Formats: sequence, structure tokens, C-alpha cells
Amino acid sequence: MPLLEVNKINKHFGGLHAVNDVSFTAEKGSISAVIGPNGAGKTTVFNLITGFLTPDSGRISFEKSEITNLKPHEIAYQGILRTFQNLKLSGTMTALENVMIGRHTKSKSGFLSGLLNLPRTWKEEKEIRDSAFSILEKLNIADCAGQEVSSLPFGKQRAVELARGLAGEPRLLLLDEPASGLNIYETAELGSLIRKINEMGVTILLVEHDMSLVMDISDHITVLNFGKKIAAGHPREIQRNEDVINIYLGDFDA
Amino acid sequence: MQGKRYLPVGILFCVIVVIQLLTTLFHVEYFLTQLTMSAYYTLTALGLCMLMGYTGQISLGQAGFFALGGYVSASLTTLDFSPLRDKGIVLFFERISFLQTADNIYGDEILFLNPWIAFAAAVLLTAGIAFVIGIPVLKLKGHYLAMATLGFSIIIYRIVLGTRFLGEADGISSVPSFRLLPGLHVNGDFSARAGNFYIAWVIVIIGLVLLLNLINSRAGRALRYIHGNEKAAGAMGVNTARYKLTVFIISALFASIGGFFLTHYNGGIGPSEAGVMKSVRYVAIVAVGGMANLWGTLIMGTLLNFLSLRGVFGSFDDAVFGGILIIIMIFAPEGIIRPALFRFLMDKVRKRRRAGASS
Amino acid sequence: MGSELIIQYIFSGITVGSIYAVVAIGFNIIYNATGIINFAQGEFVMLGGMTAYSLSLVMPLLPAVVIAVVITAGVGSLVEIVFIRSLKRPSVIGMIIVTIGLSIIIREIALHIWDEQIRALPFFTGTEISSITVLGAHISPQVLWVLGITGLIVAGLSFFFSYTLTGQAMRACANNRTAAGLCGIKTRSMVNLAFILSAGIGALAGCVTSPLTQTSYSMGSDLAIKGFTVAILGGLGNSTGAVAAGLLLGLLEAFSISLIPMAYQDVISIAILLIILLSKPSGLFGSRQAAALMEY
Repeated sequence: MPLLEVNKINKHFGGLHAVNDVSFTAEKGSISAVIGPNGAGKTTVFNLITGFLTPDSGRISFEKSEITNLKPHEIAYQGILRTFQNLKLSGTMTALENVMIGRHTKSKSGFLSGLLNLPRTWKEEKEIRDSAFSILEKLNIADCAGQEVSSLPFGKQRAVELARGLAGEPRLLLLDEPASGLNIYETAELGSLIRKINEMGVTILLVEHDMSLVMDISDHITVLNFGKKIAAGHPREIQRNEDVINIYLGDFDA
Repeated sequence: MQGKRYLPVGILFCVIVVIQLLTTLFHVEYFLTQLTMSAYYTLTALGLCMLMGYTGQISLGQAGFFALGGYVSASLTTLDFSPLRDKGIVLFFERISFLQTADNIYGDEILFLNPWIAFAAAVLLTAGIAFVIGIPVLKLKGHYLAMATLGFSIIIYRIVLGTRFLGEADGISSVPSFRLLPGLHVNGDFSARAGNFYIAWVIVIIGLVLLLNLINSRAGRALRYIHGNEKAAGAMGVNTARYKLTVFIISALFASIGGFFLTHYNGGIGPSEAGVMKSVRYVAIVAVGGMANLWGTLIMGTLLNFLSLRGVFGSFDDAVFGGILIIIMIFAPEGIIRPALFRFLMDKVRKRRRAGASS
Repeated sequence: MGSELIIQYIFSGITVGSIYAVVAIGFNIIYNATGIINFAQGEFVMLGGMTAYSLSLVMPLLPAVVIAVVITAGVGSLVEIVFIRSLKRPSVIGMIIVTIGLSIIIREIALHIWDEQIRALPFFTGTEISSITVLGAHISPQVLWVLGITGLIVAGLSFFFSYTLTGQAMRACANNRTAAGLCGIKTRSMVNLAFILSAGIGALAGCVTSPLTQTSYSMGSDLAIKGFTVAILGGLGNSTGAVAAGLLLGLLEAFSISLIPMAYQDVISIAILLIILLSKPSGLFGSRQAAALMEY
């Protein structure tokens, strides 16, 4: 059953038709990938799904309800969380605090209870802190919980960003180039981590450049080029697809 | 864990008491006047610290809200309703204490608005205006936001400067005393100096506690995340527009309440409180205190305002704050009250103690 | 309103408006080169007028004006070297704070040098009562000086940026600082040149309007706000837009005198600023992408 349905979305930036009639679905419980050369529109598609951009036309639905025009925070409350390609962590806050913000949609205390430090918030704060910490433990980075995130090595920062996304118990997790900046070993580790997360019941949609990761873990791949979808299917089919090969290796007949 | 948060507040309260006792001991009670005024300015700066330092929204309009609170109260409480005494509704209001009587400087009895009503009016008006201008203004960033808030400050300044009802260049004076509790009044009487000093600082402490709570709460975390990271905050479910607006309103209320109380303490207010220079001062105080540092803002706000009020800066008053801005931004962008600095000093002390113990 | 009055208002409007335009152009030059909005822009105008006034007491008008412009341009250069360059972590808030601080310092220094008295340069030609008849209206010859010199400034800058090597180098820097640097352009010098130019044209404008509008130590901040309004109105970075917007604002202010009490005059330009910022920050002529502030 499709969890996410993207239906014929379009996006123009001035004269540039960045996303052109793109449609694809992400099945519940699957790991889907969107790939394509630089400038193919992959991140734009992500931004359209997560509400940072509004499509000029087309529909996006999640679990049968339309999310096309929702704002980013409303999308988060639907159960869709994301990571960012150039990490968007809050540098001056600790790793733990960064993950705690991931818990925002699962908590309620507002300004009034915040200002007055009402007792009813104490239990919620503890719950937020504890669940954030346990996610850090699951990702083996609990030792940096109290450290300022800007002082952590890049690999650990990536893990914190991933933890933040997980903290909100998303039903759909969007990963924006999670392997960027990682070497072969780290990418392989990332692959098994993503699989583990998927086994916990989280549907994953990733945008990625690294072919080994994509081919290794994806159940379904959509290929974009110049904003258009040119191929879709199982990794093995994509590997054999001539159009796909051409856009990555160039057209030798030309 | 929570005790750690409130311990410095307790220490602050003790310091306040000690200062008051010391001024009596050394017969320098007049210091209390400047310290009381500094308290209200510091309250305003604390509100700005929350907005600018923690949430990252620069505002050059804090003086505008300060003046809003002060002028609303001043103008309302200096209206004499006694000519209208024959109207039934006026008598009714007098009966239920919405209106009060007192003698003016000529010895005649006047009928004026109960300052509590004026307080409610100031708070509601401030919240309302902050809400209305906040919605569009907070969509702006950086220079645009600075300019828009500066524009707000200037508009308030021009309005109070040009309106007869608001006293034009002379401002409003003869603002009546404000009765907080039986026996506790906010006014400029020399006999009530110590009382007013405590009132002012208790208010500051309450404000400080509220903000300390906020910073460490879920809402505060979201605000800090918005600073420099609005996209990620939104992606995690934070309604950034609503959060920014709320903290903007809170910041405006801090300023407005500061303005209200100072007006009653001084017995008046003038257009200079609304000017750009005052807005710049609040920004300078927050910056030199370390931006996202409530204690830094408190210390620098009190210190700088006290020195300024005592005339230490002479005719260079404005220049000092301008200079502070430049120097801080160039040499110490994190302000000079830094936790790291404090830790560094503590380490040095600890090392020396250890060396002393082992010898 | 008689037609003579209307012509009078129009001249008044475009005179004041051209000064706003020059200040706005000064904003744009620095903004294009650095991404900073220089809140101290108005102070350059004030310094030009004040310095020229002091010099005019000991030398003829022309050299006084020229030297004043050169000195102010030098101040601009100094400001860039000492303050802007030494910013350790250039952030938007930091830049704003520094330039605000600078405008205050410059103003306070001016206060201590020239105190609060209002000064004015002598009229370039004639006296304060001479008038010429243009299109039926009686205007001071100084008005023609203002329009003429402003026109020269705009034309000169236009030529400079389009046809001279240095001007094109500055535009390259504005477009993409890294690429320009890689082409061998000394970006630091370009930034400094931007400040020199902005300060210079500001000073010139200050000199030429001084006989008409007088010069006082505090005029800088009001001018800065209006200049900024005009810059935004015309599209930040767009100097042709700035000229059009400046004239527009000047005319609006001139004609509103008949409608709004003097005390609220300045509220007009601020109201316009707020309306523009809140509805279309890219201004009348700018594009939405340009409105997204440049990274410093």
C-alpha cells in the first residue's frame, strides 16, 4: 500500500522547469530512493514533499490524505521527518538538545507552562530527555550527549542529525544525501543502520548520489534527469536501463 | 537540577538586600534612585535578550514598546475627570475605584484613572500592537527586520513628539503614584526610596525567573533552534511563525511593563525614551552582555545604565553606547560576560589552591 | 493649487528626492560590493557639508568643496579598513550593529567638533534671495546646481561601472567575490573603493544641498532612513531604481506638506518603508531573488 504518493508535481523557478510532471510512490515499509545527476531536481522534490516549496501543479498525498499545501511544521506532525544534506544542527546546543528538538511533535508544553515551569511539564521534559538519550544510545553516540555539537567530528554530527529525525518516531523518514562526506566503510555502516531503522517500521525515502548505497538497500528507485522522471523500478532493472546508464556515463554514440 | 537554575537568583536577591543595606550604611541612599531606574531599563533589556540573543531576531524597536507602556499610562492617569463628575457613569466608576481622587500641586482635588486600569490598558495595547506588527515584520530577516523595527521606534517617537495630548517635546509629568499593595507605592518620594528599590528589583527577579524557565523548557528549546536554523526547526514540527510572534510579544511586554513602572517612579515620561538612541542602547546592552546570556544582560544593563544615570559618561553618553557596540562586535562578539571566561578563571583559582595545598 | 505652486512643489520634491537618491546609490554601491547595509551612510552627507563649511571659512568655495569631498572619502576608506575589515565573524547582526555604532560615533564626534548649531555653505551662485524663473516658478539657482551635480554623479557612476576597467572589476566582485578574486581582482581594494565612492558622492550631495537645507550634526540618521527607504523602494542594489524611487519619495513628501501637519512629515517615509518591506521587499523594480539578502 503506498504510504506516499507524489502525483504529477511541477515546479518552476523563473524560466527553469526544475521539476517536470514527476510522479512516484513509496510503499509502506519500503526503502525507496530518488537518484539522478546533479541538478536533476532531487532536492527540489524533497523540498516540495516537506512543505518548504509549494508545487505549481500536482498533488502529494500521505496515507491517502492530501499534504500538497501543508507548511513544514504541519508535515512534521503528519509523521514525516527529514534530514538535511548540509547538516542543519544547532551548533551551540549539545547533541542531546539537538535530538530533543526532534521530539517536538511528540510533546505539548507551550509558552505558558514554559514560563511558569509548571509541574506538569517536569514529567514531559524527563520523557523527552530520556527518549532522546536512548536514541543516542541506539546509534552508539551516547558518549557525546553533553558535548556541543559543533565540536563533534563530521561523522558523529551526521549521526546526531539522523537521531534527531528518529526522535520524532516518524512514519516516513526522508534522508537527504545521508552518505555525502562519508567513506566506503562509513557508507556501509550507514546502509546497515538505515536497514535497521526500516526494520523498526519506518518507511524510508532517500535522495542519494552514492550508487553502492542506493543499489544495496533500496527496494525501489526513481531516476530523475533535468526534472523529469526517466526510469523507475527495482535496483536490478535500473542498473540495466540504457537511459539511466547514458545519463551517468554519457552517450557514446553521440 | 532545577536548584542549579534558581540558586544564582537567590544569590541575586541577597545581593540586592546587601546593596540596600550598604547604601544606608554609607549614607548614599541616592544611589538607590539610579539603581531603581536601572532595574526597569534592565527589565526591558532582558526582554530584548530573549528575542535577540536566544531567538535571533534583531529588534531596534524595544524603546518603542517601552514608550508605549509609559505613555499609555502617563496619558491616561493624568486626565482629570472632575469636570465630568456630573455624569452618572463617572460617578459609578468612582464608586468602584476605577477612578481615584488626589490633590494636585495646586491643592485642588482631581479625579483620575486608577493606575491599575492604565496598567491593563498598557499591557493589552502593547500585546495587541506587537501582535499586529509582529505578524508581517517577523517574516523579514536581517537588515530588513532591523530597519522595520527601527521604523517602528521612529514612528512612536514622531507620534509622541508631535501630538499635543502626549505632551509633545515636554512629555507628560505629574504622573500619579501607583499603589501596588497597601503601603507599597511606586512613586518618586524620597521616603519610599528603599521600598521602590525592592519593588523594582523584585519585578526584575520575577522577569528573570520567567525567562530562565522559558529557556530551559520545550518552547525555549524551539526558540533557540529557530535562531540560525529556522528551516530545521520547521522540519521538526516547530511552527516558527507562531513561536517568533509569541516571543516578540513577550519581549514587547517586558519593555512596556518596564516603561510603565519607570513612568510612575519618575512621575513622568518624555519623548527621548522612545528615540532610536534608546533602542540602540538596549541592543548594545544585550550585545555586550553576550547575546544569549540573561545574566550578562542583567549585569551589563544595570552597570551601564547606572553609570549613565550618574552622569559618568557626561556628554558622551550616546557615544559610549555606540562605541560599545563597535568594540564588542569587533573584539568580543560573544560579549564579555562569557561562561567560558568564568570557567577559565575558576580553573586558575582551583590550580592555585591545589598548588597551595600541596606545598 | 495654482500651476506655479505645483511647479514649485515639483522642484522642491525633485531637489530633495535627488539627495535621497544619492544616499540610496551610496547604500547600493556598498551593498553590491559587500552585502552590508551601511547605516552610517547619512553621516557621510553630514560630514561633507560640515567639513566644507569649516573649510569655506578659510578658502574659496570650490576648493573647500573639493577638499571636503576628498576628506570624507578618506574617512569612508578609513572606516572600512579599521572597522569593517576587522570583524572577526561577519554575521548580519554583527554588521548591522557595527554600522549603527559607527553612525553614532561619527555623529557624536561631529557634535563635539561643530556643536549643535546649524551650518550652511554659501550659495554656489548668487545669494539666498536670488531666484530664476523656470517654467513659471521661481526657484533658487542652487536647485539647478543640485539637479546638475546629482545628474553628473549618476551619469559618472554609470559610465564608471560600465566602461572603466575598475568599475567592471567592482561589478565582478559584487557578482561573485570568489570568482573575481580568482581572476586577479584585488577584492579588498574593491571593497575599500566602494566605501570611498559612497562617502565621496554622499559628501558631494551634502555640500550642494547645504545652502538650501542647511547642515546639522544630527541630520545623518534621518537621511539614512530615507535613503534606505529609497534604496529598498527602488530594489536593493539597483541604482536606476534608486533614482526613480528617490524622486518619487521627494515628490511625495513635497506634495504631502499641504495635507499632513509638519510634525508627522517623517512618518510618511517610514510608513512607506514599512509598507514596502512588508509587502514587496524587492521594491518596485527589484526581483524576488535579489531581495534575498546576499551573504557577506
